Amino acid sequence: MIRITLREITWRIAAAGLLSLVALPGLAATQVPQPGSITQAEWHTYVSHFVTEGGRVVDDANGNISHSESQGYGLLLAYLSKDQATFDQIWSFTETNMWLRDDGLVAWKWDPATRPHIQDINNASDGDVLIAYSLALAAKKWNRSDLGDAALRIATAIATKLVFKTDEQWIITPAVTGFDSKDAEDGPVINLSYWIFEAFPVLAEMTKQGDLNKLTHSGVDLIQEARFGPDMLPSDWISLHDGMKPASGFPTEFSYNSFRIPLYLMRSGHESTELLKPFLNAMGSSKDGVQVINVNTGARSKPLNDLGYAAIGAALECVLEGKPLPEEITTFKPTSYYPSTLHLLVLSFITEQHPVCR
Amino acid sequence: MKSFLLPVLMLGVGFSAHAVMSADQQSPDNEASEKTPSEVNRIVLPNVTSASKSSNGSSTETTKLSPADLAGLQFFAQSGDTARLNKEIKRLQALYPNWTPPKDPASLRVETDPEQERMWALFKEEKFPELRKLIKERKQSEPGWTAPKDLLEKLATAEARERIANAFQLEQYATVIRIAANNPALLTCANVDTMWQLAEAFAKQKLNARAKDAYLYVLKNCDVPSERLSTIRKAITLLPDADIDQLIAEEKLKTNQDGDFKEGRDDLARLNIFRSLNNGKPAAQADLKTVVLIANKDKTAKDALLLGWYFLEQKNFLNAESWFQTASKREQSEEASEGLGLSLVGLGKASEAEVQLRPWWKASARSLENYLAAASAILAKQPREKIDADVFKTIAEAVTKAKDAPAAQQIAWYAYELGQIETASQWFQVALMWDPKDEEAAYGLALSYEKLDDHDKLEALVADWSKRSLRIAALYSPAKRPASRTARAGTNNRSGRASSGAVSSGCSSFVPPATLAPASALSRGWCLLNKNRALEAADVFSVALSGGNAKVRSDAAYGQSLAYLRLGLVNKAAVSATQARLSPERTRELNLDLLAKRASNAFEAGRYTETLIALDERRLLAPEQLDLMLLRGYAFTQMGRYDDALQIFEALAASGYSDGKKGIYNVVQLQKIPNMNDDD
Repeated sequence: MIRITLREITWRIAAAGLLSLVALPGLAATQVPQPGSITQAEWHTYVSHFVTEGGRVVDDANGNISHSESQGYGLLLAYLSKDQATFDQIWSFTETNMWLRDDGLVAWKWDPATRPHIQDINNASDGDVLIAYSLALAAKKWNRSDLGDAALRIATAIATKLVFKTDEQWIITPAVTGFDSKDAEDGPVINLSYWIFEAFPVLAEMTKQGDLNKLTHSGVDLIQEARFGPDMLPSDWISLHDGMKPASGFPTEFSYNSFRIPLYLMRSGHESTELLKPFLNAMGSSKDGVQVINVNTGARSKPLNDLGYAAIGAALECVLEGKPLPEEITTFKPTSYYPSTLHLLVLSFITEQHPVCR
Repeated sequence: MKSFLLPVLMLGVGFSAHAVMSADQQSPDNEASEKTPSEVNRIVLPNVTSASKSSNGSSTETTKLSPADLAGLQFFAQSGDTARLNKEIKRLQALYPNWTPPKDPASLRVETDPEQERMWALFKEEKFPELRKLIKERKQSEPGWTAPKDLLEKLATAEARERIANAFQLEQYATVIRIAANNPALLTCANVDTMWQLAEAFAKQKLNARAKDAYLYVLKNCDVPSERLSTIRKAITLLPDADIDQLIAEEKLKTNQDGDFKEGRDDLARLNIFRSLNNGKPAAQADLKTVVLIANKDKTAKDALLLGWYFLEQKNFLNAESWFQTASKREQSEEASEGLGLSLVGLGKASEAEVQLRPWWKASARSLENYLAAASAILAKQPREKIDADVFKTIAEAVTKAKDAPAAQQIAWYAYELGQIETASQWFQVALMWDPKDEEAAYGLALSYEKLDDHDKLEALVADWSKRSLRIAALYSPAKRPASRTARAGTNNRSGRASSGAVSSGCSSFVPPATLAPASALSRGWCLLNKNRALEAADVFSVALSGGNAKVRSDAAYGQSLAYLRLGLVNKAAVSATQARLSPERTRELNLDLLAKRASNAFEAGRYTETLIALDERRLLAPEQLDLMLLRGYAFTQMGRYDDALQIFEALAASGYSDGKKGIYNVVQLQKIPNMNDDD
């Protein structure tokens, strides 16, 4: 308990301390997560499973490819684990092999089995946001102008190429091509799990692009509106073509993508019951594991046993109901890349913002 | 001569790094580069005469290098990596024109620490992310330590070099230019590859003047003759003639300065021939004579190939053939075979050309194109020649891979003229699929349908084309329609085989299947299938499946699947399809049929989820046709998913399909009934 209190104090001091730093303009007023909320043991386990010597974060359930998302998560987790060396290692790979697009965004997929390793130069907006955000945090914390320059360039590209206003709302499109009304029949199509709320104020302050901040408001609105079917849940892919509905051509499911939505909401301080309730109902206290849910019919998949998904449900129960995390959640055991990543993000969040639950 | 490049390149091209590149990073590790590295490497140099280092390179004294500069040199020397050692010497010479390299670099002694050595080793192995990690770890565990400046600079440069190569490969030319501008240390003769990539990126971004300046920079500053020649060759493929004149003038100047007249003139003659290859103009006789002379004397294939391509471009096929023959004798290569093949096509020896090109047709897009040139020459030959089954198979595969509509049509006409009308009609359809506006293919298809007595299809085709083609319109008028028409469209589509020769010499009398040889079993199978005796056909095909060669087995597996499908035995059809290797096209076709059948069977059995699964799977292979969309709509209806059902039916109704309206009506009626069971 004492350890936890100290941690909390450290966090507040650090947050206050940011105000006095002027070396890098931008981040000063924004509360950001601090390194140290992931333990060395947890992080080393993660690295030994999913990060290669070459600095590649490997999606082992998906043909051992890497994507901008996995590299972005790797950078964020390295930052939260206070591991500058691995941060540099992952960034070196990302910069050299994936940060290649003329517009300053990152190529979305790197496949060890193909030549060239990048077959499709398109981007993935969540990967871009994760990378820019992690670079910005690291640049600030570790006083690294090289990382700050890279963060600024990617963030500027995000603000100018990916964020725009539809008839009603500010959105971040899932990629430069393929999802707007020109490219998709029922476009614009969005993915609400690409709203990484904690990143937007950081990127907005750094780039001085206020549009990025508008995403926070619009994201909360959209999540509150996207309550489809009996479970009142969003599908992973949503069409804004005519009101809001599950996008055609995609499964009408609340699934792996959307599992992250409540995590990102909580991590950014959006903890109201009103907002989180449907996610709590869907993901909380599921003894057998979280299920993929068809938002139209309410049909459920077989439960997924990866603890990373259940960890999000447990965090929701902590935040909304004050339940402590069960022991199998507080102990990190890696399964495959994606749920393991979510698991560490949950633990980092709980340690930093709800230590009583751990 | 080796005066350093940067000012030259950057100023010469009127190119400002800062203007292009304000937002990107300047140096990857600023924090460390500020510190002096001298205390880290304590290098003792036995062989280098010391003198004060000149900062502008104008001093006549010999430059003494800093330990940091020498660390890499020492490392490469001791590790025995001569190529890198030479590169490093070159780099240092470019930086310090007055520096004399040591006679024996391996004797450089250095005192350093093992971890630093490991860092250099990682650098040498190009394990840059690992090296980044190691540097940071060392810094953290040893607060006073700083990485050698030289290592950091080299690392940044090497990363930039790799990043440029990656961006170049993905045609991200703005990125190439931006990184190059940010890493001036990269733009040296030691990295001529990067220089070429930068120049090409400029050209691709329509910055020809800058591209030319980059090429000129290499010519002015770099000494390796083969690299200089490659430079001009690359420029020839990208820049206009006037720019090339300037580059060649520069090269001439250099040749004269160096006094190596003979070799220089030979190279220039080669370049002029290569240039003719690109702009199509005939080469000067003097240059041609020079290169012919060298090529005759020299025993390598290179110049022979150059001449071969030149004569091919000039349509002098005899000369081209002879030079490619020479090249091929000196050194067998894909390039020589390719040239020889194309020469033979030019000479009208299509079959010989095909033999030359066949082994390579899968190698690249270009070799496929070349092979198709030969194939199409064979198919076009009059009078018709018999094409061997193996050759024909390869041609069909190549045409399919290239989705080459004109070649598909050629195959169709070839088959048509040999009386294989069913085959012809299939290839005409393929040609039309790849090029739906091709009137000639449509005409061929119409002729085939006419010969096959397939009036329904002919009628539909004519209706589709009559406004666009008089000759197709003339092929069919309603008056021609036969009075009695028993078969529905679609069920008699194989009837043509009955009138198309050997394949179907009759199968009305019973023959015990086991007594048939595989090949005759195959033709009997088709015959039975055409007569809609699918059960017997399936039996006979299994005889062919058990004994024939790969081609027969593949055909038999296909035939048997079709037979089972016709009988509604979906699972058996699926098993048959796995009995032998089918072409991807056939596999796909069969899968489409199988999944459609599976969906409708499941629907009839009341298993609606399964219906949707089969339909979804099928939709991955091909757009859903209207009748299957209807099935999907009714599956939704049965499951109580009325909104989904309505969406489908409305789409169908909107496209004018009257069953869509019926569907809507049904759903609306159902929705009025309360408490419908809402699961499947």
